[in-house]
Amino acid sequence: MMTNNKSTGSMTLQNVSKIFEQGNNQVRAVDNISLEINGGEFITLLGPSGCGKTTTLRLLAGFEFPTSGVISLDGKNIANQPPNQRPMAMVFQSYALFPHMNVFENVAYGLRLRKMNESEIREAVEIVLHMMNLAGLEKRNPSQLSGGQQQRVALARAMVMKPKVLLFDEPLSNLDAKLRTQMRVEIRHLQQRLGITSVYVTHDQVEAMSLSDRVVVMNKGRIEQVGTPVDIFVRPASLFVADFIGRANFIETKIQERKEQQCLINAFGGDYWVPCAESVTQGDTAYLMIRPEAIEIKPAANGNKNGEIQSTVFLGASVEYEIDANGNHLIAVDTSPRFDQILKENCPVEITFDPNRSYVLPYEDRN
Amino acid sequence: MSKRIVIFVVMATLFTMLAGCAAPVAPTEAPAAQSEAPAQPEATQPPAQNPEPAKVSGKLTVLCTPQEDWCVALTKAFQDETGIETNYVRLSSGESVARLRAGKDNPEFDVWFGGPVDGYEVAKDEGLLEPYASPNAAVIREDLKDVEGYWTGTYVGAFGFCSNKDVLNDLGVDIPDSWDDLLDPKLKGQIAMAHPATSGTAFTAFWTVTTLNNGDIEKAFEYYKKLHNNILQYTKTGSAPGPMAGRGEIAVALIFSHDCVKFQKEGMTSLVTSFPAEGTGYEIGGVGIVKGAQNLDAAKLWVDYVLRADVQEIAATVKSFQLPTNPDAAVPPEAVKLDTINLVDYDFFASADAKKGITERFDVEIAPAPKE
Amino acid sequence: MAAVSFNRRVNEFRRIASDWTLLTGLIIVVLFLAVTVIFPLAKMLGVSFTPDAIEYYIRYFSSSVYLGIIWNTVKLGLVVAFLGTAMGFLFAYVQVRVDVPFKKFMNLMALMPIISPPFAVATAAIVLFGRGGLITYKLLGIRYNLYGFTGLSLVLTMSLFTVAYMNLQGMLKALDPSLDEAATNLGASKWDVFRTVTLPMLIPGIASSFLLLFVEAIADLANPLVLGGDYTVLASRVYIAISGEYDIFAGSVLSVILLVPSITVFIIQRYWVSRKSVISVTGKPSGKPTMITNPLVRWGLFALNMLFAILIFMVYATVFVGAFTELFGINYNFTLRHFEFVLFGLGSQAMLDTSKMSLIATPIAGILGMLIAWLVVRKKFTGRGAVDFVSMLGIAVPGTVLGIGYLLAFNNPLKINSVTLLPALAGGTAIAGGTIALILAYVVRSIPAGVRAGVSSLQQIDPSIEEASISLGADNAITFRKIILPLIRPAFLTGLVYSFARSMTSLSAVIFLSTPQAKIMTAQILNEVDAGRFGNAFAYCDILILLVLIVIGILYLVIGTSNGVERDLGVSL
Repeated sequence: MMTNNKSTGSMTLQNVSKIFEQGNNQVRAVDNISLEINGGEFITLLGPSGCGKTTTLRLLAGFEFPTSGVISLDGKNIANQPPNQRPMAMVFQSYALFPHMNVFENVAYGLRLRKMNESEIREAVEIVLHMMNLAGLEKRNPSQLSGGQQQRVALARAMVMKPKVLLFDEPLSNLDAKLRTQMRVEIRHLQQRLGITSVYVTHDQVEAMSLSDRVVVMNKGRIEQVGTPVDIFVRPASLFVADFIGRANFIETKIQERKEQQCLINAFGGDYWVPCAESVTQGDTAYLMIRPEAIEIKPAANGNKNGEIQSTVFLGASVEYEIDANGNHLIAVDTSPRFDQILKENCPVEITFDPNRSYVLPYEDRN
Repeated sequence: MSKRIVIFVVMATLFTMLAGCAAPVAPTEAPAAQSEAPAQPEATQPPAQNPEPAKVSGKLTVLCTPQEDWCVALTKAFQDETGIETNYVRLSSGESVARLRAGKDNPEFDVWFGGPVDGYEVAKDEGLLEPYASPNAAVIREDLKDVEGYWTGTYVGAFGFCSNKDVLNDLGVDIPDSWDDLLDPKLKGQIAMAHPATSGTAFTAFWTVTTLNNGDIEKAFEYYKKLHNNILQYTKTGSAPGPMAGRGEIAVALIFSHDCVKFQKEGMTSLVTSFPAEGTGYEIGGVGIVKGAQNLDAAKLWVDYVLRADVQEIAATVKSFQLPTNPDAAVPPEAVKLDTINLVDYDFFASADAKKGITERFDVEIAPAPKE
Repeated sequence: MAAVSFNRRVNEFRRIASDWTLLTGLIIVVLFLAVTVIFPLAKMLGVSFTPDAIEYYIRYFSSSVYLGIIWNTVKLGLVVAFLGTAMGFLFAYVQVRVDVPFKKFMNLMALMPIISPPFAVATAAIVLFGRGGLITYKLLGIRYNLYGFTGLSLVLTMSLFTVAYMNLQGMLKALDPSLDEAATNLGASKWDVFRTVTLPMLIPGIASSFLLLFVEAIADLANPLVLGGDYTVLASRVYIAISGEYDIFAGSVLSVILLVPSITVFIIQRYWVSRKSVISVTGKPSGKPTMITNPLVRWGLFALNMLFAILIFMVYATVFVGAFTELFGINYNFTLRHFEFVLFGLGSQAMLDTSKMSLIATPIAGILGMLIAWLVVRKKFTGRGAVDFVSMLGIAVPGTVLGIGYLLAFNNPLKINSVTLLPALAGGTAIAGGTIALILAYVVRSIPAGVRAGVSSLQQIDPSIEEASISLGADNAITFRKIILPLIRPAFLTGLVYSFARSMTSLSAVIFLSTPQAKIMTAQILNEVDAGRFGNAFAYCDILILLVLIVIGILYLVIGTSNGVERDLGVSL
């Protein structure tokens, strides 16, 4: 599924930047990014607002043109190709359904422009409507549809074009939580079935993780890391990524020794061998990143105390503890709590952690 | 879809109706076989009184200064008789000269009809007119036509005061019969006249006052400065003050007496005509061909036409009671006989020479000035 | 940096050029505006700064009479702007915030001036309220002098306040009622709320209306000519200079003098005041506005509003009845001769000419207006602000000024080294008898309303709808035709309606351009009013109003409202 031959819808961005002029200021929305998108993959651009993900998507679509850099589709430079000539279809955050056309007309719009004949259009539209569970709604106007239905019409309209690349601009953010989850699953299944290259933009890391073959984490116009959801979660490339995907505790530490992919560090009064980043070597100061789920606490017997509980929050399926560990503020999550053993505030605890769910990152100035 | 068809049918019907209403200048095709009219001799050779109108075609555009209804009647009658499609635009005398001046290089009009000949003299001096001695001009008195043939008089009218007797009653003022009467402070804001720049009528009045002051323009300006305090508004058209008096908006209108009579006849029964005892002016209404006219032959025909006695009698049918210049034309009983009033010795040449200076100065010094 | 932005601009244009329909549209708009707006104005400015003309400046500015005229004009503008805004506010407030009967009637009366010709109100006012007036003299026995400053400002107020009314009504409707509720909750009385919440939020709208009315009032020609009395203003001076003397220097110099306050105020209104509005007029506030309940206030406002509405009604009733009356004021016998005169006499040519030219100008103005609105709102290119500004000059510039510009620019062919670029368009001997210049003048005067309607309409459309169309393969032309146009149809219709009404009733811009082959109804009406033949004038007015209503009706039937974006007529003005 991830081949790079001629017409699979693979894309490349090389040193692409986009600078906006606002009055006397220049805003670098996208700052010299390079990225390879494989044909048929589902790749998500993830990051906080203002990180440049939407601008990048619009650069791919052709609604913005790069200030510098090259964008290619299947090896061909498309930098000056106008958006309506690119073989891509976009699903918009607000759905952008044409209010003066019914569902059928909306979906048929792009096909009509290709001057296909009526019966072909009818067939194609019916198929895709069926696929999106919209059969029977052809004559309805967008205003008469629910949010989820509108979303699916928007999707149908894009899909029916059989584009080489599908672009998604935060399409689920206007839906309520339950619908969002449902639609997520549908989108993923659809994409896997059809194998169309999809570029998806979102700020929701749960969406990103659940939908993507790979995730591109962006921050301030730059790419922080590209990798599979596992890569990103287990081996984050920077503090930003570590903190953005899931939650993380950071403890400053010193590398005592390095052996292959692991480093020896000392934390909570014990020595641990923890997987660590390539660039960390013996003697470096570094950050130990521990996921809250990886922290184990038990009430401290005398002398074993290395932390104290500051607050306890019972969330039903899990319990969260805020812990003060000799000046370090930690968050620990117990994902299979024993309800009769929930620890209370001010309880002294002994902290250990699972090194296989932790990682050592190079030192960064955290300002 | 059918709704739109209905709409188009309605629209089409509406337009045909509107088009059908275009009656007066409805084009009647000029007779197909035309031979060029024999060129009218430039010299004053008087042939027969009513020569056969030559087969002239095309369109005629008339610059017409008298009252609109007379313009309509005359152009229609001309068109009916000759078959030439005739169009006119009605402009006051001063406006007419300005318009001719504007179109000097490319005149839109063929002939100018009506309005005091002071204006024609100005136009002649500026090279805007074409001389033509119509065979029908032979019967017109010498002092009523231009020696060189640039214009010919078609009517004569005396200038006077047109007052609303009810308003005068309310104000406690007698019917004015002298220029000085107009300066009565009781008439403050109760008099109206036209602006001499646009209107020949007003200019005639001005020159009359000048003449009464032995040609001293300064004295005339002094008079008008005083009169200005009593003026309510300067109208564009010479006869416009008449209906204002007729409706009771002012007490006295300074207009040509034949216009006053016309308004009386049209229903404004409170109006009375009077004349200043010191002497009043008069106008000779002219006709002349515009230099560079597009249809010179038709223009000449027109001049011949309006000098005819029977044509001059058309005026009375539209309540224009000027005195016709053709001695064979019937004089309407409503017309003011010139020998019953005191006329000044009006010098048209002097007035034409002084016109531009006077109107400009009037415009600057008097018209916009604040009242005392 | 400079190199970067130059490159960027070049790329912008390269992209626009690659979409040939966009390029064509842009070229058409720019060429059109250059020929019909910039060229005539430049020509007029050119004439007014020749050495001959400079003398006039000196003469005018050193003459106390002329300085008085300038002051008169400004004073008239200020007074009318104030009264008009106040009246508009009263009507608007009662419509939106006061629960009283006859609202439809009062609304209708407030809207009448849009379709009525410039002289209707003045002429009717003379016969009703003049020295011999039906109301003032026959009923009340006073000989009231309507001519001059007082009468002029009252009549102008009545004729122009509609713009203020619609503006303010739109703004009042868009005010968020929860603001009032919040204030009340914090202890404010109704009067406090009005004073500290409602009024301040409306200040941009009030200021806007004030400035717009000022511009219209100082540009007005019709009413000063009819009712001015001894109160001379710049517009009437310009008219006398040209039509009485054909003194183009005096005309252009006076035009420039008139142009300065006009453009200044217009710029202030557009680029400063309207930016300060804190009400998003495109928003739909929730809830109903709080209505006035205090009976004293309620019925007091009602009485005042009804008084003015009835006054307006009487004026238009007079226009209607006067057309059938022998001699209104003297002889009230029924007659049809005025209509005969207008329809079958000389009047018919003017009727046909004006209608034809207006009908030709209307769709042109409508389409250009939408095109300009689209280019300005949606597309980014250098000079976008300039295109926007120039398109608005059609109403920022007083009509007489535009008229003179056209006269100077189009009376003669435009030649460069004896190569004719443009043949003469105005004047009786020009192509098509001068109708082209007239039609262009009509178009230029109507474009601004179309642009504004289009802009406010487009701002309501989510830009991603256009992008969706493009991403599905449509180019700009198709997107405009299939997506934008249907959605802005109501605004387009509004623009068309306004164009036609405006063209039919326009006087000051076209009075210098009428020729024997192209007669203008409003100029004919002026002639009739000036000559005192009020019956004919009323008949003309009635026919004109009828024509405008018929065409508006047809437009509504043919184009109609769609399930697109609905806009208030008021906002588009």
